[in-house]
Amino acid sequence: MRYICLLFLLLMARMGFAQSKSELPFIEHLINKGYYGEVIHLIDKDSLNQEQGLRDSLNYFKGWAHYSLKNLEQSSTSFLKVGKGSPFYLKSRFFAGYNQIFLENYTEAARIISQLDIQDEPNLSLANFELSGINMLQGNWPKVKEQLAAVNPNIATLHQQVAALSQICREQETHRSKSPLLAGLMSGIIPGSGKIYAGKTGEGIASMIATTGFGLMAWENHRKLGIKNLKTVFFGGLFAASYFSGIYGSVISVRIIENEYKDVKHNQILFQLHIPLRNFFE
Amino acid sequence: MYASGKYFEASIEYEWMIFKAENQADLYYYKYRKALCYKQLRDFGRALDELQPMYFASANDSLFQRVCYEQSQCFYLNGEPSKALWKIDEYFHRSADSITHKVFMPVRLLCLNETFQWEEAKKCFRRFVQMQSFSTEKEAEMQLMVDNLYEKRNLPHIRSIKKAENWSRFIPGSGQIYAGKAGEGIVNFLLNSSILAFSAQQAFNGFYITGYLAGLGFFNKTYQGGIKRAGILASQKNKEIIVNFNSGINAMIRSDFLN
Repeated sequence: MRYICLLFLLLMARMGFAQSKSELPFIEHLINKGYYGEVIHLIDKDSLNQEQGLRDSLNYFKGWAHYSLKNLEQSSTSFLKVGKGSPFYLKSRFFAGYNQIFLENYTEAARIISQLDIQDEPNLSLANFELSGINMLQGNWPKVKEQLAAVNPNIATLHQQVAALSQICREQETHRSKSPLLAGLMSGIIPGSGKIYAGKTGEGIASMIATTGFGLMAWENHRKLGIKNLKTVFFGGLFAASYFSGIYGSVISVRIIENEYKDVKHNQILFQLHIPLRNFFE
Repeated sequence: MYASGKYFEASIEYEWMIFKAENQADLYYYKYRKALCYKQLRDFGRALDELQPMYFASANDSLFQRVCYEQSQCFYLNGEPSKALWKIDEYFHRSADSITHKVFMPVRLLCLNETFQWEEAKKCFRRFVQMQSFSTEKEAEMQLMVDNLYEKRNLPHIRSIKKAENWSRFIPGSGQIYAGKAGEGIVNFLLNSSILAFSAQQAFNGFYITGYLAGLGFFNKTYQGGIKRAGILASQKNKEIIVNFNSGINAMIRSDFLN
């Protein structure tokens, strides 16, 4: 009997000890020290049978840990489990929305932020700001201006970011896309010039030198050995390959440059959307 | 948990104890134990992150020796033998108790070998032999073995990276042969000489543009690449040699010193 009691006590002590690891201050301590894997492990192990308030907080911390580890899908799932009564509710929803923006699930992101049903400032402006960013990423430019106008200009934490998004809008309006057709045509006339037009100067010069070199070798062999000689055919083939691949490369370069431009703007928008979230909630 | 091999879970338990620690001595001890968990998980970087911030005012603290030892081992296992040596030297400098130095000797020896400090490594090994409680005959036998091991003719032949590159600079492919890759060296030599011959033949027949661009242009690439490759091969060969040399010493220490 004594041994059974002792065993029971040991078991209880162990359970109590294990349970206490999910204490919020300890979880916060782990988050602050960057032990995100440990946080997820602890919460997954200990979060059963917790009271609602504590469960919300644990879901928030789990979401934050996943967010820090760039597991955005799992982060969103945990953030969305945080209940309305929690002090972390708004932050969790906004970050869940931001995760979906990052994952390019724009409709889902807009749904999460729209569902917040915020009536008061400054959170209303923040929601409008995030929605304007989502519309920018989707290319709904007219709607962007409308939503940016709805952001209260007196909110200092949003002021700079609104200006930055407006600037991106203006740049988008004045941006003139380069023509792949023109780039190909230019490379057809002067090898490499299409790439220089596309903005890849180094590649253009290298292509120009290579094509000219192959051309000179083909010309020299043609002049001395005639068109039917195998060496002339070989160097002529190299010249032709270099010439036509240069044209194709110029067309592709324009597409790459355009995609790079879009990526830069995309990242700028994501960056601008992220800053107020950190400023508002930390 | 640690004893049952659940090192990740054990590291969380130790972090919990760190969180609840009420004095610095406890804190350092738990950090040390946590570092051991990371070491078992082969995450030497994180183990070092736990050990590095500890400062011991007194070198007589028993934990100081253990922390220094683990730090030096983690540095060595993390591929940073110079830092391991620096840590061991710091301990030797601070701790006057030479008996405690014994435990550091194997790591120090391996690090010295890895940094090609043969003379220092020999002294270290001899000292390690002296520190053992061998009989006089056994000690003399072991000292002789150490002297023999570190004789110039028995030391691993370390390839100079500079020399390998210079060999390839003068005779393409010869650097690769020097680094121990004879086949690759011969192929490289044949490739370079054929391109050069083609270039010369073209120029001789009046095809100056073809000779210059197709011959010398291509030769320049294979020649420069060959020089770089010779250096890389020499460095790889050195690593291979030193790993073999150190595994021999490791096995010797395990069989003759730790049993």
